[in-house]
Amino acid sequence: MLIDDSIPINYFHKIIVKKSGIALSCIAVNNGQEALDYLQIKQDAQERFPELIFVDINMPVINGWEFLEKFRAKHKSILKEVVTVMLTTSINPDDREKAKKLNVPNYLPKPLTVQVLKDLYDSYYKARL
Amino acid sequence: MKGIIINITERFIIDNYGEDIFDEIIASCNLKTEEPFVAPGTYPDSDLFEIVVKGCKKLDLTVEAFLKKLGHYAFAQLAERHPSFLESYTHPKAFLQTVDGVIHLEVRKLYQDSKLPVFQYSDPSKDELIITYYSERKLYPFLEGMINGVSDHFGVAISQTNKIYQKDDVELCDFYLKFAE
Amino acid sequence: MNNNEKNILKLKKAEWKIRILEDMVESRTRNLYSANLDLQQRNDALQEVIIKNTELEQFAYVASHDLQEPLITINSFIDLLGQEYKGQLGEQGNQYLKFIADSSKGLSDVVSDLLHYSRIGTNREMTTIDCNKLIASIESDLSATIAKSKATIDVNPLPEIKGFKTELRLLFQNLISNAIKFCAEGTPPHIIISAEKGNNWTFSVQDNGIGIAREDQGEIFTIFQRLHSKNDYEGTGIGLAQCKKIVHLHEGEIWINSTQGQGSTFCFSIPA
Repeated sequence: MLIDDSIPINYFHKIIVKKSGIALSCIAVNNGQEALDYLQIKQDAQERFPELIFVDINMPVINGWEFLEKFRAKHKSILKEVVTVMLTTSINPDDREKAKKLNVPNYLPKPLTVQVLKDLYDSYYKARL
Repeated sequence: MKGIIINITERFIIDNYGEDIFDEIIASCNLKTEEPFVAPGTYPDSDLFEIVVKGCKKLDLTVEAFLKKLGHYAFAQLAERHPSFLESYTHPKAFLQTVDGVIHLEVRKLYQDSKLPVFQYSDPSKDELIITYYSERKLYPFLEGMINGVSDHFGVAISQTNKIYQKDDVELCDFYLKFAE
Repeated sequence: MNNNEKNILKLKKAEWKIRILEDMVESRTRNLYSANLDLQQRNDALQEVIIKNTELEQFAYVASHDLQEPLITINSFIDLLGQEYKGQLGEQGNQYLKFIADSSKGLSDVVSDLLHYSRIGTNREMTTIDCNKLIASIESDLSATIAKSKATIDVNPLPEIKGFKTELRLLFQNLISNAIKFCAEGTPPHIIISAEKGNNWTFSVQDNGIGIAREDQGEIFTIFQRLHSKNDYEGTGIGLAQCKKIVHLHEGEIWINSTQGQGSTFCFSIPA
């Protein structure tokens, strides 16, 4: 799942995800609330949850941190199955500190690349197969 | 000259020789200042010197002897007025070394436009001190008297000699002090 | 004069003294009041300057931060365009694309450097830093560049100092990178780093590179000032401006000793 308020970035990332071949499907939304609504629907319908979520930190209305907080609160049961990755436009040391404190191990600069996706896949999902 | 020194001089004469003598000395003086001297005021150096000279004449003392006694008295007066400068010291050597850096600094804050002598110190051994004194007014016996006052205050005998000399066209005076055990 | 007359005279003199002293107090109080007023005005002016300065810093940060995202978008799609439509653009189209890509990269670099520059000094935590370890770490980071340029770096014993770690690292890194970058043709860069203790610690980074002419030495610490064309040496020209800002952050000074063609020694002082 891609969460970013920039339509072109989401479009680009969707292409990259496709090129990397690591995902069966990819959904892109433009704000944190839309993301939370979608996840709620999926949980209620007991349908397959996105296992990899990329969240942009700087979004209006609900930013990346707020999304993470709400997501962790609402969907405790499936947290183990989901890998969240925070995305940012600059390696801001304050944000990096925040990521450490909130126990977010994955914190990457934009844009995503095919290599980064492959590495993530290898770290988290290869073992599951 | 700041008024406080002139006030001390006035009090010195009154305390040691009486008010009548003091009145006579002042009457014989040709002072530039008409109003009474107040401590924070600034007055011409010549007024102090006039009082000293006329006082010596009346009391039959040399200027040197007068200034020495005055210095001794002056220290006691200043110590009484500003005890905080002395409280933390038990030995005159340590105290004397604060005069230039600490005491004169405070004096400048309190008394604007005061012209103070400059001291430099050297420390040849544990119970010796050399004070190099510079002042436009060259009141060497006055300082000698003050040092005697310091000795009295701390109860430590100080034997002193001094030497006047020229350095780079400037007249300086080195005071050699030896402190008793 | 009898005693009575004497006493009256004494009293009159005392009263006169009191009046003189009262006048002095009044005049001192007036002086104190205007000195206070003066101080207050200066304080107000200082406050205004501090506010304006903070605003400017924030502006620089926000501007460069908000410029990053559109730039990332542009660069990403330029890459894609290049990859997916390479064969179909023709020679001219490819050239257009290359120009766009280069300009965009140049813009990204400037914005990124500006962002870093505006962030210098925002972390207000001072720590004790072992400069020897710092240099070793920088050498490790730059190992590829050092190997490629065959550079040798001699590090004399350096002290431990109090400072801002990230910024000090950037300071040394910029100076070392410059020493490697601006080397003389055919001569591998040789860098000597040392420190001397006086009232402050004076560090020097000496190189055997192309040097800087006297008339240019004034402007090199200015932000985005470049002495050479981009074709000859890459970079936005912010490195030395960053160094200056960092040194000033530590309340030190930075200067250069150099002759054109005979290498440069960059020196900076940090209070001990």
